[in-house]
Parts: sequence; structure tokens; C-alpha cells
Amino acid sequence: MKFTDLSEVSNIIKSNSIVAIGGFTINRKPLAIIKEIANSNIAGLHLYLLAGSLEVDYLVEKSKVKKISAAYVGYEGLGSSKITRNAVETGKVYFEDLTEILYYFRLKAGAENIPFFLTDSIVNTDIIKINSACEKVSDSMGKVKCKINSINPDFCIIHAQKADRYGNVFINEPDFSEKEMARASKIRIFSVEEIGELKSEEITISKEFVDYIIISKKGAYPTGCKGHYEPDIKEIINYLENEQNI
Amino acid sequence: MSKISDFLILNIEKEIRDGETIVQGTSTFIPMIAVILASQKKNINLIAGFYANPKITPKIPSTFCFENFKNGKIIGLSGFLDMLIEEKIDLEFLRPAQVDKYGNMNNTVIGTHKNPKIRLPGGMGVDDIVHYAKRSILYVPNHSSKVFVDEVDFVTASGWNKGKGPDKIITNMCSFEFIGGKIILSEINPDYSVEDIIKNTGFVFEVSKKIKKMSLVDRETKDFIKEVDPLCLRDLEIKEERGKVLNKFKNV
Repeated sequence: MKFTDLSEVSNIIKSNSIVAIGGFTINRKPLAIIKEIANSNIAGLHLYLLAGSLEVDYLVEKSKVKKISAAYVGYEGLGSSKITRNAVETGKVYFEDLTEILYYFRLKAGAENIPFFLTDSIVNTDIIKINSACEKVSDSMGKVKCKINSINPDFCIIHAQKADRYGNVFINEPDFSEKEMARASKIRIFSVEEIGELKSEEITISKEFVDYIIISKKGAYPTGCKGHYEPDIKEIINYLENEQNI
Repeated sequence: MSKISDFLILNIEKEIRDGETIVQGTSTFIPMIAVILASQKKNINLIAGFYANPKITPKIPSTFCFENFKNGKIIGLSGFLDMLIEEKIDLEFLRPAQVDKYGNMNNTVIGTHKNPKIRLPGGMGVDDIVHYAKRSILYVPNHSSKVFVDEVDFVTASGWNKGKGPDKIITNMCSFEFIGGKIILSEINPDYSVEDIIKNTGFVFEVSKKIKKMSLVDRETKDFIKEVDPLCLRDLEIKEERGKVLNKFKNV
């Protein structure tokens, strides 16, 4: 584990890699790191996330993304993303839809070094037809299931409330599967609001699954970071009103 | 005529049964308020999706912070999916962009997936819910033939012609029930006629011989909803009202 700073991000993350991103819609998105990527020469990224908003738009706007695997990209009640929508509609970016189960079990399989999981859901949807990570199979009882293949992202970037000097990370809110994301990913980069002491029960992600820590106050702004700041709704609405199709 | 959101809240609340464990995702403000309304008289366990920060601004009432809600808790994704797969979730209310007569729903694309005319935000876990939750109920604030289509452009969550589908669809105009996998108009908003519904639905449906009238919002319910949701977050789900709500945030 190494403490580093935002200027190093562009040297760590490589073009054409799979980048998993933590947080959920307008909550705890690692936007300070994302802005570094957006302003770098990195390109051709495949983003893997549950529910995205500004982080996806920032990167799509700067033509850094070739593929998005997600269950949702939007701003909840605040509206949808013109930038990502337009990039997908014009064929500049491919959107490979996930469900929550599909998102989670791909990471869980990757984290546990299991090639796949089976699920009863997804089988009768069109998602199974368009998502390259799943397929119909028959289980030992002859029942049709959806086989969900594992994923091991090249990088994951996660914003958290706190880390200690040893590199253990504390996410002070319900998880969006960041534990599995960190365990499944090859190189794990965290931005944190602060460094301090952590009690053993506070450790969400153990230092063995942490490669880089960047101290970044308000590193998720204008998305929220529970216990530190709420999403800045006014700022997000302004962004949505001013964003242009690309 | 009462506010569409209040009308939906009241009629969604009636579907909630005593003792149920309900999961409700983010930005589904109408059913969230319906669950709060139901909790006044029924024993409800509410799992508020996995929204880490329900107080999206300090002006949002604490009733939206489900950690403080009676029998409510916020859990992470893994905990929620464990409950779902173990069939411990009774019900979720879902909002489709398109739905057909079998209850197949689309929240993914209008047009083809390869060349979408409109890329929608995405379906989150709608098929996971339809498949694993004991019941799922769809709600449609803007009943039209654009939503009720003969065939959905993309199956984000499957319907009864493929095994299991939603149990009901509640709209601003009526309520459909699925009986033996077949869609039947079972209740109607007294402000509309069966002809209105036929005109605004893109497929043929059967009308129940015992068609009932849906409830209209009374003063007590209206006041309760207003108290729970003074900023009208529920209207973020009503196309014509969204702008007014967003303006309130802009002027904070």
C-alpha cells in the first residue's frame, strides 16, 4: 500500500482497461480521481459500476469511455444524463446493461476466484442476450439458469470516509459492494476524506486489498459523502442544465 | 380532481398488506410515501433500497431518512440481495417506461439495443425483483399508449408469458390485475371512463365484470401526504410537475 496524490492517477491507470467505480448515483463518487482521468491522456476505458451519474458523464464528455457496464446511469429524481445518453444513442459508447444481481455476482465471483455463479433471474430477459458475461445453461436438475461469469477489473476507484496509516479503509455507510469490488480488482485506488485511527470493527476494506490511498477532502463533491457533506443538489442541477450533447 | 401523485399514493397504499417486508428503491418517491402512509395503520418492515444518503438536502424531511422510520432500515447491496434471494422480500413497486399485456417491462431502450432511439437510464434490479420477491406491482403516473404498448422494445424484466410477472399495474387512470397471467381491468379512477383507458392503451384487454372504483384522496390523507413531503418530491415522478420541484432546489 502506498499513499500518493491526485497527480499520480494518470500514471497508474492505463488506457483500454476495465475500471470499476464505487458509490451510488449521487453518493460517494470518487470525482477528484475521475477529474484527473478526464484531464489525462487515458482513453478507451470500460467502466464497471452499479449506478452512475457525474463520474460517467465527466469521462464520457472527454471521450475516455468505450463501454459502460451498469445497471443505471442517471440522476435519480433530478433527471437523466444528456451526455451519456447521446453518446450511447450515436454509437460512440456501448452500454452493456447489468441487473443488481448480475453486477454483484460478477464481482463476488471475481473476489472469491470462482469462475461463475448461477441465478434464476435474468433468464427470460433481453439482458441475457446483450450481455457478454451471462448465458443460459441447465443446472444438474435440468433447470434453466443464467450463468454469470466472474470479473476482475484492472482497477477500482472508490471514495471512502476514512483510512488509517496502515491502509485500512472505513466506508461509513451501507456498502455498494465495494468490499467485493476491492477484492476482485487487480489495482485498488482509494480517495479518502481523512486519515485517522480506525478500530478493528470499523475496517470495511482491509489493507491487503488497498494499493493506493489519496487524501482528498471533498473528493466526492458535488456528490455526497455521508457524515461529511450531502450531495449539492443545486450544483448537480446546474450541471445537468448546462451539459451539452457530445 | 386530486393531484396525480396523491391519488397514486393512496391507491398504492391499499395494496400493502400488514406484516409485509417491502423494499423500495431510490427516486421512487410515490411508493415511498405510500409505505409511510401504510405504516400508520399496518405493521410494515421497510428496506429502503441501499440509498446511503436519503436526506438529499437539509430541507428534506427526516421521514425520508428511513433510518429514523419505524421498522425501517437501510442496508447495503449484498445484504439486500441476500434477503431477496432467500425470498425474504414480499413486495416492491416498480415504474416501467414501457409495459405490455403480459407485464414484460422495459426500462432500457426505446428502439433497438444496438441503435437506440432513446437510451433510458437502465433497469437497476427490476428483473431480480420480479423473479425473487413474492409480489411486484408496477405503477404508471402517465397512462398512455406510449407506456402501454403491444410489444416492449426490450425486455428488462419478464412477464407472465415467460413464467412470472408483476401482480398488478396501478396508473393515474385505472388498475390492472393479472389473473392466470392475463391482464384484466379491475378498477377505474372515477374521473375516467373505460373508453378513455382503451384509447390510451396500446393493446386489447378484458374488463372485469366486477369493476370497482378507485379511491379518491380525502382531506385527511391529503394533509398527511403534505406533512410527510412538504417539498413535493413525489411530483418529481410527474412529468408536468418536475420543473416546479427542481426550481425549489435551485432557489435554496
